[in-house]
Amino acid sequence: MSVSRRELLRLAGITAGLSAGGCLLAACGSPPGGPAGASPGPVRGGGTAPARRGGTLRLAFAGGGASETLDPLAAYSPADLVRSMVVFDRLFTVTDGAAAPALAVGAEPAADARSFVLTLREGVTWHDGSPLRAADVAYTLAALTAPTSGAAAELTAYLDVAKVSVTGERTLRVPTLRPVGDPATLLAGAGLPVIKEGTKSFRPGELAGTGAFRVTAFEAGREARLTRYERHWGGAPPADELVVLSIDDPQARVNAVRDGQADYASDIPYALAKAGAGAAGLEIRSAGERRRTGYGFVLNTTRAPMSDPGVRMALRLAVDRQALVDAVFLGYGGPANDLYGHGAQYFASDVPVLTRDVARARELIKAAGAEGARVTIRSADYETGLNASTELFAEQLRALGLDARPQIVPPAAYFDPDGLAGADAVVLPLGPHPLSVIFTRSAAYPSLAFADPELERQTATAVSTTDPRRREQAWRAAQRVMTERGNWIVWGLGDTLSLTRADVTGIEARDSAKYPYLGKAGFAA
Amino acid sequence: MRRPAPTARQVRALANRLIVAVFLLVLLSLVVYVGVDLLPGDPVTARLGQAGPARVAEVRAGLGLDRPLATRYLDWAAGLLRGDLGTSATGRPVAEMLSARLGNSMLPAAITVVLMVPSSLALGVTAGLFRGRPADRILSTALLLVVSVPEFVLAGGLVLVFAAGLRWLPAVSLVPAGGNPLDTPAVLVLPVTALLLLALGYAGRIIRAATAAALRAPHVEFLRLNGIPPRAVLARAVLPAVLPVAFQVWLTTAVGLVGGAVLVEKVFAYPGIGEVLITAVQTGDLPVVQALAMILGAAMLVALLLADLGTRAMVPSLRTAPR
Repeated sequence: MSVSRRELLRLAGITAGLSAGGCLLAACGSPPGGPAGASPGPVRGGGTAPARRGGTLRLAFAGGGASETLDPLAAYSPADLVRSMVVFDRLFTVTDGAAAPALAVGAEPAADARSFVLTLREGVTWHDGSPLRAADVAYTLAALTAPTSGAAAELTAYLDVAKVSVTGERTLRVPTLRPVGDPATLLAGAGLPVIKEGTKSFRPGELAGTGAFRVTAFEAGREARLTRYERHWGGAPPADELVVLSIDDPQARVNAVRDGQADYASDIPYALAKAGAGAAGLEIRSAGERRRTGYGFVLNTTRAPMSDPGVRMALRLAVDRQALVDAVFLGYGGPANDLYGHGAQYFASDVPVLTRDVARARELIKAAGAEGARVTIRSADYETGLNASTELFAEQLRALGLDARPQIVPPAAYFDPDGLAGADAVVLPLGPHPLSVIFTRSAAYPSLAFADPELERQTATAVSTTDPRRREQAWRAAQRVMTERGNWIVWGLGDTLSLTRADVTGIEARDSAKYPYLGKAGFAA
Repeated sequence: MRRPAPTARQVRALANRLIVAVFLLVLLSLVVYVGVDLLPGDPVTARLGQAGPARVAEVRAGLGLDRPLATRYLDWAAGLLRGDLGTSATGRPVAEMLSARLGNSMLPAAITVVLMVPSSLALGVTAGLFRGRPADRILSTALLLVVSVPEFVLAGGLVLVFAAGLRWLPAVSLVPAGGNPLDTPAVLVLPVTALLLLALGYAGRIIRAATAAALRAPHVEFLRLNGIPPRAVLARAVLPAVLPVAFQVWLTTAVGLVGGAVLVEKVFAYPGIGEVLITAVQTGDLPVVQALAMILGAAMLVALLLADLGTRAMVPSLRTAPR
C-alpha cells in the first residue's frame, strides 16, 4: 500500500503551512474582518442572499475516483451524493433535523403501524417529460434491496419490500416488518432517491431524474456538468449550470478556489481554514451550529471493563473535552453532552455537558477494580481528526491509570466486525441525522449496541408509536438512559467548513453539510 | 561494420529470458492477488460497514467474495489471460475504469521521459566530468536535494510559486469532462515539471556516478595520457560505458513515473491512475488495486527485460560472450 489517508492529511497540513507562509511573503493581507495575527471566525450559514437567475457554479467535493457513479442508489463519495441529490429527488428530506415532504407529500401509518400509505406529489415530471408514478417508487424500493445493489439500505430492516402494492397512480401501500410510527422520518433519514421504473443504466443523456438539474456530461472522478431543469416541481432553479468537480485532496480543493478555478470548495480541514480565505472576495463558511458533527466514542459493553457502568461514567468524567476540542477542532467547534444527534428533532439539548472530575473518576475506576485495565480504542481517519482525537483520548485515559492503547486501522478495514468486537471503544462521528438513524447506526454491530431493557423498550416505542407526544417522551427517556448509564462518550461538536466565493448563495445543508443540496444554489444578485 | 547473424546460442538465450519472464509474470500475479487480498478491509465492509454485519454478509455473498481464495484467484487469472481485468466492487469493469486513466498518466510520464533522457545525460555527464569541482558540487547537491524532498512537498512548492504566487499556471489540473489533458496543455506543465525534477534527481545521480567511474578506467586514462582530444575520449570511451547504465535507469524510471506519480497527481488533482489507486485502497476496492499492481508490475518486468536486451546490444562483449 503506497499511501495512507494519514499521510495525505499530513501532506495537506504541510502544504497548508506552506501556503500560509507564501501568503505572508506575498503580503496578501489578512482577510477582511479579522484582527491582524488572529484567525478570523468563519462566516455562518450557506449564504442567505437570494440567488439571481443565471450563472455557472463550479463546486469542488471529495470524489470517489474512477468508482464514481451516476447510480444514485450506489452513491458513496460526497461528489456522488451531491450529484445524486440534485439530479434525483427523495421522498422526504431531512430539513433542520426533521422530515420535510419532497416527492412524497404524505406517509400515513395504519392504526397498527404495520404498514403505511405513501402519497406522491402531483405535477412531478421526469427529465424526459413523463409524470412520476407510484410504480417508480415501487421499482426503486425493489432495486434498493437487490443483494448486489451496494446501497446501505437501512430501510431493508423495516420495509417488507416484496409486499409493496401500488394502489393508485400516485399512492402505494408499504407493509413494514415491524411497527413504524413515523414513516416520513424513517424515509427521510434513509435518504432514498427515487429512480424511474425500468432504469437499468445510468448514462448522461439517457438518464432521467426528477431533480432540479439534468446531467449533460459526466466523467467519473473528474467532473459532472448539470443543466437546469426548468419544470422542476420546486420551481426553476437559479443557476444555469452546475459543475461538480471531484477533487479529493483538500489542499487542492482550496487551491482551486483561490486560483479561481472553482467557486466553492466543500469540507475544508480545520488546519487549512486556520490559514484564512487567502484572497479578497473569498470566505470561510461554517455550515452552522445545528449542522455540527458529533465526535465521540462508542464503548463495547459486551466485555470488561466497559461492561461496568461505573467505568463508563468514570471515562465520561475524566475526558478533557476542552483539550480535545482545542486540539482537533482548532476552535471550530465546542464540547458536547455525550449524546449523538445534536441538531435533530427530539434531541435532548438540555442535558448539560458533564463537568470534568478526575478525582471522582479515579474513585469509580477503583471501586470497579479496573485500575490498569487494558482499553483498546479502535480508530480510522475516515473523517479528518478521528485518529488525532483517539490518540489524545488514550493519553487522557492513561493519565487516569488505565492501560489505554489506540488501534489505528485503514478506513477500509474499520468496520470489520471482529475488529470492532475486539476493541473496548471505537471512534464514531455522527452528523445531525434523525434520532432513529442515530440509534440504529450507533448500534449497528452487536459490540456497539447497548443492551439495556429500558433503552430497547423506549427506542422501540419511539420508532413504532404514531403519537408524536409519546414519541417525544420515548426519545427523551431513551436519551436519559444513555446519559445515566449509556455507552457513548460524545466529547465535541465540530463545524463543517467550506471555502467559497462570497457571492455564492443558497447552499442548503440537509442530511449532512458535507454533501449539501445544490438545487437552490447560485450567485447573489 | 557488418552485424554478425544471430547464432543459435543467442536465439536460445533470448528464448530462455522470455520463459523466465513468463514465469515471473505468473509468480507476480499470484503475489499481487494474494497480497492485495490480505490487505485489511474489503469493499463491502468499507462501503456498507455502517449498515451492520447482516447487510455486509449479504452483499459479500452477492458479489462472490465469500468463495475460497484459490477459486477466486484462478477465476481472476483466467480472466487476465482473456484480457479481462475483473469487475470492480462498484460493479463496473476494471478495464473500463482504468483505460482512460492509464492514458492520462502515461501522457505526462512520456513527456517527462522525452525531456529527461537528454537533460539527465547532460547533467550527469557534466557533473561527472567536473567531479569534485564546484560545478559538480552544486549540481550534485541540487540533485540530492530534489531526491530527498518528498514529492508532494516539491509539487506543493511548485504550486505555491507558479500558481499561487506568480499566477502563471493553474493550481489544479482540472480536465473538463469529455476532453483530455492535451486540450488544455497548461494543466500538464506543473505535473511534468514535478515529475521531471524527481526523475532527474534519480537518473542524473546514477549517470554522474557511471561517468566518474568510466573516467577512472585504465583505458580512458591511457587515451588521455596519449593526447587524444577530450571530446574524442568522451565520445569513444566514456559515453559507450555510460549509455548502457543510463539506458537501464531511463527504462525503469519511465515505468516508475507511471506508477510513482501517485502523490504528484494527488497534489494537482490530475485525473490519472494515482487517484484511482488511492481511492481503491481507501475504499477497499481490491479488484482495481490488483489490476493496477499487475499492470505496473508487468510493465516493470518488460522494462527490465528490454533494458537487459538493450544492454546486451550495446555492450559487444556481452553480445558475443558465451553464457
